[in-house]
Amino acid sequence: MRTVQIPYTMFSEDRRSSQGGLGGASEGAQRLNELCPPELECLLLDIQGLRVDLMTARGVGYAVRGVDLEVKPGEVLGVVGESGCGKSVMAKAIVRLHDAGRTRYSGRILFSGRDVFAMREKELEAFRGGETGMIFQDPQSALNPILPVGEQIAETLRVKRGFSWKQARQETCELLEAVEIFPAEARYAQYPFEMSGGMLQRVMIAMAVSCKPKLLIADEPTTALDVTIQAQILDLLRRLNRQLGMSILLITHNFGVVAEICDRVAVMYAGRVVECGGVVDVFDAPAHPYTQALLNCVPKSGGGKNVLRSIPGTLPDLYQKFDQCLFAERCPHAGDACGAGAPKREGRGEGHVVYCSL
Amino acid sequence: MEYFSYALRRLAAFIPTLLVVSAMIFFMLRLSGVDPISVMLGERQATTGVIEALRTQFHLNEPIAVQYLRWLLSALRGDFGVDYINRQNVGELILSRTPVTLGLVVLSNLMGTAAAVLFGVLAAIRRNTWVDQLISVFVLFLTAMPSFLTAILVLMASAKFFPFLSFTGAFDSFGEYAGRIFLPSVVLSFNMLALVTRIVRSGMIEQLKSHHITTARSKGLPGSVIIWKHAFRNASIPVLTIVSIFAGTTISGAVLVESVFSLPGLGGLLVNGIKDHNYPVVQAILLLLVVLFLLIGLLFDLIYARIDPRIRLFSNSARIETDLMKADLIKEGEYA
Repeated sequence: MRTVQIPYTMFSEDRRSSQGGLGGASEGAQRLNELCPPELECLLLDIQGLRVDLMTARGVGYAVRGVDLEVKPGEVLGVVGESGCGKSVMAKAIVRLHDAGRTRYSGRILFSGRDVFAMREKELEAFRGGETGMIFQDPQSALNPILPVGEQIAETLRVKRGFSWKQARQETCELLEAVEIFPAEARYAQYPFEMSGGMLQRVMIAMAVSCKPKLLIADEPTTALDVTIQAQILDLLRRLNRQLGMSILLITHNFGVVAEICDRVAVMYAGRVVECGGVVDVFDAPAHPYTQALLNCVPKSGGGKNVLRSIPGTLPDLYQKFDQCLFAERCPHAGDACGAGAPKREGRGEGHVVYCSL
Repeated sequence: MEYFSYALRRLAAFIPTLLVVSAMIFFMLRLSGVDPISVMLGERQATTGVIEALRTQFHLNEPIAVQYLRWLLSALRGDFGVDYINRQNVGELILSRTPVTLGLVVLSNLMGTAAAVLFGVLAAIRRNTWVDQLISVFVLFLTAMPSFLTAILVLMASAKFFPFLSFTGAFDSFGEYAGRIFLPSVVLSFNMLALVTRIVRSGMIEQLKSHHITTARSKGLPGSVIIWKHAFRNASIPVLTIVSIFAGTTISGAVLVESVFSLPGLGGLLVNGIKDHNYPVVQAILLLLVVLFLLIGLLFDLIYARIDPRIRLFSNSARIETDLMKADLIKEGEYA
């Protein structure tokens, strides 16, 4: 890897405050300060009892079944779970990205104290991209194939921050350099098919952070990339998190990724959070049987030629409504209490909660 | 620059096509076996001396291949000869009739495409609602009607509701010209409406579901930018294919509509020319139509290359390589 001095000046504090012309964001920041003074610890994102029902041809899919999650300013929260556990659906719901006609939301999502579900269309537009940024699993398909990558970043700057094309181009080149894409000027005019996956994910990141959002939602950002590129992308995310003070909600199914950059982790199963806490707490003392089973499946180095372990059984039916613990039928410790009512919420030390009836 | 050379290369490819087509036009007309002299004389009687004189004047006594070459070479200079019946200059004759046909072809394609795009995009955005269904029934109805019937109905309706306006016959000013070709263009545009609307609709639905639209929405772009810049631009590539095919068929459609509206276009000239075995007129018009067809194809290919960089860039891979080499050199020089 090339070692380069990266011009991070663009992210410095004075510059951020001098360019406060961003309607939604500065307004949000102001309200945040009013709602909770900086000396008190407060929440950037507060998800309360979120349910997302997707209307499909097969019927109603209960993708998210009551999730409580919090993201504090400046922290990196990892959300892990197997495929189909509703983590991506939840991530998209935060900015109401689902098709409005086929999705039923309930519960509340508060962003800096503002109710996302109560936002009007215009407010939502300013909120998306302005206060939140999103990156996705497959950067190759997430970018428009027939527009130069630079233009795709620049258009965001034009729409959200009212830049001229010239200003937007200059800012875009600085952003590209900040995510280590060189030479920025030449790369600006390139099309997605002329770039590699890792490079495109950097472009996505530059695009997502172009308006300096307070929250970056990263939906499996490294899944489609090979391992060395993965490490570089995680590195970049961590650095942006530190330098911009930007919170990150990182969706992944990889515990290694969580261990690498997350402060806290939430484990999801079948549309619910089963356990949430500091990364060290959860890894050292997993309290929920599902978390224990998952961690048990992670192959360990130096363990000889062990068989890859898995959890017996499959996910419960997405199209059925459940009240009781959904993991019970796969749980080695399941007892009579598990079938009766919703799992109990239980605190295990500071900020570590587990949803289990046992 | 790369764009310009692409266009030049495409133009160069026309030469062999035109050679083959011109030969086919010339020789196949002669296969009909009607002697041009009898066309020229019509009902009149003539002495062998007169007939011989005519043969020499029109070079009909030369071998057929020589006649073809003579015609081709003078056509290249813009001289299409003199017609057999009225002895008028064919080039001038055609030039006076071209505005109507060309106007019909261009205007009907523009209007048809514009309407189809609006209907298709609207149907895609409001898919599976009554709007979508209404649009699909409406455009299907328009397309299912044969164009000569729609032409007559439109003509009757406009004569009833706007009796003070005239929509048919010759014209003197540009204003009259525009008024004359408007209605027939509308009629002609119905042909393509249903199919193009359907292509736009399905392309838009597919695009709106794609990942890059999710990204565009997550960036907080306004709905109009998402629909037109990100979804429609990408969906327009298959639309162009269909429109370019239809643009060719409107040339023949125009001939039909011209006769219903009794407009002085190429259609009438061509039909009469074929009926009378007036070879110079028929040859020249057919050649013109072929050139028009090829030019329309080229125009659409250029639009393609404009919209989709992959077509433009991969048609000239040398350019990419030099650019990447340049990029590498910059990288080494500045950042190593």
